[in-house]
Amino acid sequence: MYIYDHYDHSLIRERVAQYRSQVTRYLDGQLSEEEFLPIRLQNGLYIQRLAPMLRIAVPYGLLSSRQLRKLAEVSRLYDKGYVHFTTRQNIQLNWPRLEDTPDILEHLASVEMHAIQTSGNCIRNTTTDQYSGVSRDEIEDPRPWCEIIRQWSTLHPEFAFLPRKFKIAVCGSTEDRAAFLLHDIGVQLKTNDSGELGFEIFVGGGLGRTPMIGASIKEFLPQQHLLTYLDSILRIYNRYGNRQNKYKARIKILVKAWTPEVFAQRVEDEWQHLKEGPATLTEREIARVKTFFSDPGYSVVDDDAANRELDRLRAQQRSFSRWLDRNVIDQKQLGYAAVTLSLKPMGVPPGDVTDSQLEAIADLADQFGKSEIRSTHNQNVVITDVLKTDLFDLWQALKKYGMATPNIGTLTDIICCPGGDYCSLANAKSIPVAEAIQRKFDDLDYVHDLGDIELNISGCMNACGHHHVGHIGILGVDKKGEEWYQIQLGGSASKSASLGKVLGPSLARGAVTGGIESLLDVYVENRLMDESFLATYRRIGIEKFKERVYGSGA
Amino acid sequence: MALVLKNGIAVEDNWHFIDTCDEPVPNDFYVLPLAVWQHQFETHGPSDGTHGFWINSDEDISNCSAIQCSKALEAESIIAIKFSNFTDGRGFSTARLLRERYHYQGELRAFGHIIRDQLFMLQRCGFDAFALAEQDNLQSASSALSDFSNAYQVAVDQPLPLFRRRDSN
Ligand code: SF4
Repeated sequence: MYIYDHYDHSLIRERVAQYRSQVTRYLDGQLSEEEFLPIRLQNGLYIQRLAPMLRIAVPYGLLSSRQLRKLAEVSRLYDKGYVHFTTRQNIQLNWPRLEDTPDILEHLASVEMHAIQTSGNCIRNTTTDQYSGVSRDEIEDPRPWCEIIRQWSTLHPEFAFLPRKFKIAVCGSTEDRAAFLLHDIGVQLKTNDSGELGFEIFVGGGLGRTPMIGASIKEFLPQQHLLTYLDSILRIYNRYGNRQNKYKARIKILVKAWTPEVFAQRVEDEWQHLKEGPATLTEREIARVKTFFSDPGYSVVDDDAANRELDRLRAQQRSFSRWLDRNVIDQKQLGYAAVTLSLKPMGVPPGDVTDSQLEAIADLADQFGKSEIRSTHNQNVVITDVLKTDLFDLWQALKKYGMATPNIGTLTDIICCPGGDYCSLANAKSIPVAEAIQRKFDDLDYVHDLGDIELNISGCMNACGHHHVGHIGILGVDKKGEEWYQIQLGGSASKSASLGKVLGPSLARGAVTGGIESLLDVYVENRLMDESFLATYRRIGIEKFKERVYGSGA
Repeated sequence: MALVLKNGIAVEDNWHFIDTCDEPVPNDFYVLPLAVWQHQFETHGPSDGTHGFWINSDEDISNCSAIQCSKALEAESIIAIKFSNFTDGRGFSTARLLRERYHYQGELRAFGHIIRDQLFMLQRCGFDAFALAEQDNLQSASSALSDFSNAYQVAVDQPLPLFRRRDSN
């Protein structure tokens, strides 16, 4: 994990001081509402329907146990004793007082955390795969590159006032777990024919009102050029992105209007001026950042023996076996596993964790892992580097804290935005819908039999719940003041990314779970062998699903 | 007379800004709209240092042929960028281009709607003069120029990124 030096430390301390004076000036009436707005947003502070909400950055989803304990403390001192993991791998406090936010940030600074650029029209937190450094299909660890991008984007003087928010994701593996094709910039690590490391660069992906899949504009960018090339993209966007209409302001609209070819050419022209300039990365810097993410030291273990022992325990305990199937993956380091803690037990808003759960996670990461955890864009938490021989003990401990629900990647591992319960932009509530679905489908055998299904819910078109890329997507819509829900089918955020298709007219809240049940029935009746929901949908098309939900007359 | 922050100090502003082409032009120290300045440049050649031009933050300097001419900005003593709204980030890029691509050396002023909270970044992009609305607090506002003691990126004020300056590198 990256460790701050005195430069990084003084920068976030100075940011806290700057923000504190801004809050004081605002409260004294010296800073207008209009002027305070972008300033507080750039520091993660929203004023929501019920209260301010503070979004804390978790750079590329990485947290230490020390940081978790600090978050638990802050949530107790200044909030209601729980925090919320977002779909951007960040953490939100839902009930802080505006007056307290500078103190909260001061606390966070002491553990190398901040809220810089977690909202507003600027470069947001860079995200990546939750299995970085441990997954078997990794080409190259993306975390050093995320850190390099983090530093470059933090308080970038030229790009603090972009036309709209800007999100970057980095993918370092063959499977895509970062949804990089759905970001303003997607960076795919790759090697060229001569074995040199570089990137393929995609632009213009994104969800929201006009969902789009990113287009490749640079097939191979040698590694030292990353920052000058990013500067070039951002400069073109900053200068030519639409600033009149906020719904047309994302970079994807510019890329589409110009075509990806023309956009690529404009970036290339700009880049000719910056290429080989001082922002070109040095070997030393790349090596320096990489040292923070090098192997934390693994023991040599007998993987086969560990697997045999797990099989024995599996046979004895069905629920342990289920948990291994859904929540645990083998690491590339033999004998080690990465464990996903489900933050989606029934009856709790997806992504919410209490202060004592945070502390428990910290303790377990110390005891069983390497004092490090990762947040996922599915709003769960991963402990990596667990010895397989410790899995049984870890499982038992997790059960105690309600974080062992064996539902990762299944129907009930729902991605869900805060929706109408918290968010002032919402058209409809989303959390009660998620809960109703979890209640309806509480039979674990059934849910496991369904296998991989991503069900995503957003409370409005802004798509924070990523509904366009759920195999089943649910979007809250407002019909004459009533909450209705549109169902979409066939979305996917993987490398073969696709956007969901609208099934038909929206359903009333009470009809949603019934509708989902019909969809699942059609799947179960039509699937071949162990075909997944998405694969079945792609094979048979939308009609059968539609008929079942709306009747043959529809 | 209005005060501007120039290199961190509040000074009296002796530049006269001309808004439209039909306004009478004084003998010296005037700042013209870009189109008028360009016309002057094309008919009389480079300025003698007694006038300059201003542009809106939404204007694209890449479209101005006179600016592209390497001689044009050499003797210029003031260019001002007017922000119609403080969230118009285009002016930040324009400033860097003027400094880094067109090698402009004279005063680069931000005016219109800017706020003190932006001074640090504006300065990094190459601005050295600021016309702020809060005239009474100008000196205290100027402390915002040193909100941060360092920065990660390359910019006009610091042509080396932090990674080339870190102790360990
Ligand atoms: S999708 Fe809409 S309702 Fe949900 S959090 Fe985002 S803005 Fe709010």
